[in-house]
Amino acid sequence: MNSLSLLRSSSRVLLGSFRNAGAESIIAPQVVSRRHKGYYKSSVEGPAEQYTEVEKSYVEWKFVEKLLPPKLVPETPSDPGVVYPSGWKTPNPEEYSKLPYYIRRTKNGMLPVYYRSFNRGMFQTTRVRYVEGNVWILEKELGQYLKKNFPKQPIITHANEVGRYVQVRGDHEPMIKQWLLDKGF
Amino acid sequence: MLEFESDLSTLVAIIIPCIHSYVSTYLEWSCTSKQIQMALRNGTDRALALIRTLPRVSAFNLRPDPASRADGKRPRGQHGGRRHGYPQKGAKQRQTFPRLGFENGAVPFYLRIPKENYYKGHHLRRQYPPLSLHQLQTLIDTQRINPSEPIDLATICNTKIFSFNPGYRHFGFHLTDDGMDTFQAKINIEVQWVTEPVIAAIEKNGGTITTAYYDVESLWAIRDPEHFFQRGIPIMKRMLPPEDAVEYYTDPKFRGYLADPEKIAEERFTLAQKYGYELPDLSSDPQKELLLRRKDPKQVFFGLQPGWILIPKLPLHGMSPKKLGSI
Repeated sequence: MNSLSLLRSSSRVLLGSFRNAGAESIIAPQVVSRRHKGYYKSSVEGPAEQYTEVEKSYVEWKFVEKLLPPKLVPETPSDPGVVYPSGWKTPNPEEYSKLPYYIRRTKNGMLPVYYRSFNRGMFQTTRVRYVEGNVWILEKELGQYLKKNFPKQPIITHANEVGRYVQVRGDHEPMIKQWLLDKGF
Repeated sequence: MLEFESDLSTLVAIIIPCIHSYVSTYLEWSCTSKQIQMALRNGTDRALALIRTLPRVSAFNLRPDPASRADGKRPRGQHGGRRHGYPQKGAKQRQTFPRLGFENGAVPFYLRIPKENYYKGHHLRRQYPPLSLHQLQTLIDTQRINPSEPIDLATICNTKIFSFNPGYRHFGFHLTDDGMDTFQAKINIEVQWVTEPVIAAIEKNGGTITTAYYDVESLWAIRDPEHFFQRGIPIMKRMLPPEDAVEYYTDPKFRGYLADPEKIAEERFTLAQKYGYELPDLSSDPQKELLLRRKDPKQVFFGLQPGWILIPKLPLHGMSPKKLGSI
């Protein structure tokens, strides 16, 4: 019984509490338990003199600024109707201003033509968004253009004036994009 | 006659509940007592009036048949409590199902089909997500990437369009040859994996390319430099490539960052001979300083040395001023 209580009391001492110490003769150093999650989160060890000196510098901050990402999407070039090496083209108001409809670019400078497949690929749609002006004429012209290129394929178009989009069944994204680029959008 | 009349009244009494749901005009033929007829008329009229005010039956106001849904309770006592829905004997009662992939004694699929050893160790191999020359040219055209600065992993990831995950063992980008015929930019680029035609496409335009290895710690840092700077820890050393990657990154044919620069110059010339283009002279180029700027093999960021700590003037998000002071 005595030995058991001694064991218990000694284990408590290690945890940093001297309560119920069986004998006063037991003198153990108080151990502070610390949990270091990792190298970077561990606290500073030893006196400050051990460490190497630190030099402050403000000159190299320009290299840090180059490594920070831009806060806004960079502006795309604004010269009208220029074709760049990648095939990316700026919109040309001279060409599209004659048409009864207008399609604006997205914030990334791309055409808002989106392909979507759903129900495990059963249904495929291509949607032209952000249409301003006459949606119905765009729907008609787009349908005629696709019918001309795919005479054996049923071209089913759908226009939503409130939603400002024209939708075609099937995967026609690259073709519609090229058609819109040729129209100056 | 009297008997008949009495029989008729009973007959009417039986029929009435059956035709209760019919429209009231159909009831007039029976010529029953006035009281019953009036009560029915009132009832049907009330029901019809109620139906007129109710919404149409549609998928929105239907609820499933209560019997169609089984409650998840374990049956007890007389409600199937003997075996709780399980059979009397066999695997289904004792839950001793055959092991996964067992096909009742037939040679199972996983033994019937030969091993695909080319997948061996796939969870340990380094992976390089693709970035095509066409995509790179588009980034430059839309002013996402500045070609007058050296392009490295930080530049590509800071566009926030392309990224990689070192947690999936991605070790940087593989520059692919898609769009190499239309590639026109003159750049100094550093990627992690490249093939011969891509090197030719870049050097033809007067640019330079290097392949460089980044270890996982430095990949996490260069993937999102802003996040790394906010951590307030010293910039690490970039480790040298592991044994199986040394051959590639010391090869002048792949413009390895550990290759001899003189041999790289020779290889540039031989590649130009092979693909039949005139190699632009780098020594007389006005952008010579840009095109020949290279990182130290142990350096992660351009212009910043390992061991440096960045302390911004204002505390960044997620970084308390107290912690900054202790650094």
